[in-house]
This record gives sequence, structure tokens and C-alpha cells, in this order.
Amino acid sequence: MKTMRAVWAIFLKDVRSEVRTRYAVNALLMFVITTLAVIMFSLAGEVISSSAQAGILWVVMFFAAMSGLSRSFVSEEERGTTFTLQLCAGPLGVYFGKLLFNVVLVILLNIVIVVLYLLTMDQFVINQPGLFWLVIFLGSLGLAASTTIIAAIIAKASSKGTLFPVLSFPILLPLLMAGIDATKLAVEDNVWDAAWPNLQILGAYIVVVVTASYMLFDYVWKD
Amino acid sequence: MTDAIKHVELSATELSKQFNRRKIFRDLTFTVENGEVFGITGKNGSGKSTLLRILAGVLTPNSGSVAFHVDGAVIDHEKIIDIMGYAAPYLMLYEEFTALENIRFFSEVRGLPFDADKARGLLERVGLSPERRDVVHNYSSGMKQRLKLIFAILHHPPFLFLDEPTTNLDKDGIEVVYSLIEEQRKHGCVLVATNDASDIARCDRLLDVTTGAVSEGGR
Amino acid sequence: MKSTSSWWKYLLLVWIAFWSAVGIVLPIAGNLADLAYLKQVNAPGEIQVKINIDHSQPAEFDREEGMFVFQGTDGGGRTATFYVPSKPEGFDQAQSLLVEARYDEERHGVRICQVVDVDPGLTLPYIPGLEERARIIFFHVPMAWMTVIAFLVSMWYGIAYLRKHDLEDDMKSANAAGLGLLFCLLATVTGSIWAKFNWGSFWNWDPRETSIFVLLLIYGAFFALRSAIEVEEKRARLSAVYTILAFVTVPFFIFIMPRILPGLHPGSADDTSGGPVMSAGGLNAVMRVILYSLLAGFIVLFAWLMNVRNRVSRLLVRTDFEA
Repeated sequence: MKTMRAVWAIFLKDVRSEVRTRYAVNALLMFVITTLAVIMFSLAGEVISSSAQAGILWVVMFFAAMSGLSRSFVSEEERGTTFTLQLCAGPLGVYFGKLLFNVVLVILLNIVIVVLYLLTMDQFVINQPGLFWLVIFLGSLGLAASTTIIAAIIAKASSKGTLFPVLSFPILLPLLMAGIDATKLAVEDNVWDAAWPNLQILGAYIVVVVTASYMLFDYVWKD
Repeated sequence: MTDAIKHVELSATELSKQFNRRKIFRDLTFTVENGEVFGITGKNGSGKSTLLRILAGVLTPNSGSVAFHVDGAVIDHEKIIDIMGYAAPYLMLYEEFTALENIRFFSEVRGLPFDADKARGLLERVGLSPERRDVVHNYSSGMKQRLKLIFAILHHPPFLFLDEPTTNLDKDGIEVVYSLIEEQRKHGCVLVATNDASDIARCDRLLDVTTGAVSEGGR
Repeated sequence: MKSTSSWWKYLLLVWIAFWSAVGIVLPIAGNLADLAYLKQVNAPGEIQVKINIDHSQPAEFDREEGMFVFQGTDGGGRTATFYVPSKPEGFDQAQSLLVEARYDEERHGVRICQVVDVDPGLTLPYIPGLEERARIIFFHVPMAWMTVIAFLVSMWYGIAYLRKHDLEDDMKSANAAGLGLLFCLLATVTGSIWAKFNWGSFWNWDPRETSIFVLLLIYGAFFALRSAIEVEEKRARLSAVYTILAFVTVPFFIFIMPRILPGLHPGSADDTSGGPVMSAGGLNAVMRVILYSLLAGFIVLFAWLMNVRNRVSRLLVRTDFEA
């Protein structure tokens, strides 16, 4: 109960801080817009396969997450408030508070990405919207889960910006592969059954990463 | 909850710490009980702040242990943050928020209900009442130090850790610190890391971090 | 400095060299089932077959056929009639022959084109689609296993560090990971060379190739992380955490994905031979002995290199400390 209140307090604090400084949101939006613009330019109206469409969508989602999600811990470290948080909140409260913030941020971000993608790419048609949004939702959860713990690790290291994708990519690959495959199936109007193994992988991935993070976070958080 | 506490005790046993194999201090053993103001002294770089962080449980010692006792019971490691308050120059506040918002966050994250009247009372006490709605970013370092004192005592901890509590403070501010210390003496204990002569004068006992010797303080 | 005996080091090198040589030198020989399989898939060609001569049956030159005809069996107990243009040298004393042969449609027998060896010793099995290239197994498979073993050793010491805060454990963890990176590179290179000759290109993004690539990335990320943290204790803690985190996510790659996704590598989901070459009947006893002997040799080599690296690290720490 106490932990729940700490989680909520940290989440609200991060939201308020974000609203006030717009540090992550502005950069993220610009990143998404420029990336999509580059993709549109390079495609120049060419017709591409559904698997390439799904792949490009996930590339944008992955790099957007890489550019924004490390903020959660890096900002505390940069402002020197890590120590303050250590003194007033338990590791569980901090981890789940940050995770919640990252989950909300990445879901909103991915919705924006998909909407912009739909608007700019005429050939991108979702034939199975239910499955598609479920995949995006699970994918967002997975992205947030693994980037939260990696962000906590790199916040303590130097050259944080480059290290973040380097450490995240191998950990995220199972998620990306299952996500891309399931997205392709949803775009191509396949039945849900076809995507079932991928959905299982996504679900198992989230459970495994969150459990491991929960057990390991103490070691990362303490100095 | 703190009102019912009768006896508190903090004991450190053979604490040693090194960074990158460089020894900071070795084999510190001491006990602090309620009603006491315990001074930690030593020249710059001798590890006063490191020792305080280890005692607070945010830094792991290379060897040795720290135990908190409240009314004879050992306090779990995770619960230490609830019975300990900490103020230090290197403690940072959320600068994009106002003083009130900071207090609100620190109350909520500790699971305490936010009491606006109480917060105003605390701000009044440290002399920040007029600036309570200004963002901390615009505060002077002395004003920030005053707000950090509130951070330390917000939850009435039986153990108060103060690292150089009078730095950056004017005469009024120093008086506030000393009155807080005297008050804390009544329901717990204070550990002060300092080299300031007038701070040391308030201490009952003094620990020299370098030698590990405990001597009578100036009081 | 006390002197350490080094006889076992020479023994180890001789051991690895010996089994490598055996793996390269031993001939590959199929059996009658392999010939039947080639006929079935309409790829009639000559392969090396080892046969046992059945001297209880008549063996004579058939003038009508213009062939020397005899009866024989293979290791699996299947019998067949064999046709050879002339009586092989030393036929009467020989127990078995290593021959190049193909299935003969007209005569419903086995046509021997050339006798390679009389009374051959041990042979390696014929694996359809791999043939001579099957020898890569002796190096590639131990390398791939060592990559995983080194990773586990690294994680083991990482966990030990988290429990006991002893920097010695962290040093061992990093040294094991360094050797793991080396083995990982060797596994990737040997696999890639083999892929060029078997699948036509060095890299095909087969699930198995993806998994070794991910391991390579993880090892790389591990060292990138370590070089970015100054404080030793912090470096030890965070790299241990990263190793464990990688450990819980990579099984998706190494154990699940390659087996549920279709791929080119032996052991993929659509591989009709059923399961990896390792567990299928593809390997005979000789092949297993060579493979496991080499694997054991590489494990000891790993332990030795680990020991040397640990001693070097300790000396470096000491000189650092004294400086």
C-alpha cells in the first residue's frame, strides 16, 4: 500500500516535471516527425511489401524509444536527485513509478507514431485493427519494461546516449522480431490464430523482463 | 508514530570503505543513542559524507555492518528511510517545482498525507514562507539549504543525519539548525558531520573518521 | 614464484591436435540406407559406402553381366548384391570394403565404381546435404557451446559478486566474458564459412545465425558498459546485472526461436531430419567420440586460459596499486 502510494507519487512527479519542462515530449515529437519525413522522402511513393511496412514502423518506434525513454533515470542522475530519491523512496516504488511513467509515455508516443504513419503512408492499411492495436500495446509494454531497467543502468555510466541503444538492442531483439512479425500478420488480414505464437512471445517477454528487473533493481539503484 | 518511541540506537560495527581499492576509512565502531548529538569530524576527503551515506544505507560498505534499533527491535533495511532524515549540501531538490510542491512530493512519496498547514508551519519555521510559491531553481543556496532541512524533518524521523548543516546559511539560518538539533535531542538522536567549531560545540561526543577514536564533545 | 608443472598443457595441446586430425583424416562413408535415400530423392550419385563382404554367399565373375558379383551387408544389417567390374585386390581375405558406389536401377543392386580402401578402419557417417562439410561440426559446435558456457561462467561470477561484493569475482566474470567473445567470434566465422559453401552466402539471417549475432552483440555491449563506468564496484554491479538481464532474454533466441521458426540450419522447425544433427541419428559413435573429445579439450583450454588471464589481472591490479 505504501509502495503503491510511492509509485503514484513518483509517476505524478515525473508527469508534472514533464509538463513543466517539456524536455522529452518536444524532442520526441520532433524526432518522430523528422524520421517519418526521411522515410517518406526515401520511399518516394514506391510500393513496398507489408513486411517492410511493419519493419519500418517498428524501426521508428524503436529509435523513438531509444531517444526518449532513458530520460526517466538520466534526468534524476543529471540533476543529482538520485540521492534524494534514495532517501525518501524504496527501490520498488522508484522502479514501478518510473516504469509506469515510461509505459504511459511510450504508449502515447506509439499511438502518435502509428497515426502519423497512417496519415503519411497511403499504402499502409490495417486489416485487423484489433490485433494490430493489441500488438502495439504489448510492444509498448515490452519496450517500456526493458528500457526502464537499461536506463537505470546507463544513468550510472558515462556516454549515456550512445550506450542506451547499444545495451538495449540485444535485449529488445526478441520483442522486435515477434512484434514485427505480428504487425505484418495484422496488416495482411490474417486470422488471430496465425499471430498467436507471437503474442505469446510478447507476453512472456514482458513477464520475464519485469520480473528480472524487479529482482535486480536494488543492485542498480544502490550506490 | 514517532511519538511513542522511547529508545533508539544506531550501532556501527567495524565499518570499512574503499573506492577503487583506495582506502577511505577502516574499522569504525561506535554506538549512538537517543538524546545524543554525535559529531563526525575529519579533514576534507577523510570520508565524513561517505560514512553518513553508509549509515543511511544508500552506500554499501566493503565490510562491517550498521544496525538501527527502535525500542529494542532491529529495523529492516528497507524501513530505514522511514526512520531517518538527511540534509546535506549535495542533496538536490526538484528545481522545476516550488517549495510547496517539493514538500508535497516528499510527503506523498513517503506515504504521508500532505498537510498544507503543517507544510506552511515548517516553511515559516525555516523562514521560507514568503517564497513558498517560487520555483526552487530561483532560490539562493542558503534558501535551498533551509528547504533541505524541511526534507530531513518532514516525517519526524528518530534519526537525523546532518552533513555540514550550517553551510551557506546566515545567522538566522544557523539558529534554525541549532534549534532543530536541540528539538531532535528530545525524541531521537542527531549525527552531524562537520568541522565547524560552533557545530562541534553542540555535540556530546565526537568521532574522528581518520583514527576511529571517539572523544567527548564540546558540550 | 613457485614453478608449476606443465605436462598437462602439452597433453592438452596434443589431445586437441590429435582429435582435430582424426576429424579431418577419417573418411566419410554412408550405408545402404543412404543410397536408397539418394535414389528416393532422385539424386543418384556416387557416394562412399562401407560394406561388409558376406563370404558365405557365392562371389564370382558373372560373364553375362561382365561384372564381378558378390553379396554383402552394411553396418545397419541391410543386405544387397554388389557389382564391380573386376575382382577387387585382396578380396578373399578382406572383411570389408570402402567403395564409391551408386544404386544401379537395372540390376536392382549396388554398382561399385571404385574401391577406395580394403578393410577400412573407422569412418564418419554420411549426412545428406552435408557430406564432407559435416567435418565443421567438430570445430563449430564446440565453439558455439563454449560461447554459451563462457557466458554462463561469466554470469555465475557476476551473481557471486552481487552476493559477496568481492572484486575478484567481477574480474573472473569479465575474463570469462572476454574468452566467450573470442569463442563467439570463432563460432561465427566457422559457421559463416560453412554457410558460404552449404547455403551459398556468408550470411543468411537464419534464426541460428541471428542468435549467435545477438550473443556477439551482448558480449560487445557488456564491454562497452564496462568501459563506460569508472568506479570498480559500480562497474562490477552493473555489468553483473546486465549479464543476468541478457541471460533471461536470450533464451528466446538460442533455444526457442531457432527451433520454432523455419530456417536453413540443421535443427530448424522445417528440418525433416528431426531435431538438431546433434540429437538425431546423424552422428555415429566415432563422430560423437571426436566431438565430445574436442569439446572436453576446449573446455580444459578455456579453464587454462581463464586461469592465465586471472593471474595477469591480479598482477595488473597489484602493479596499479603499488604505483
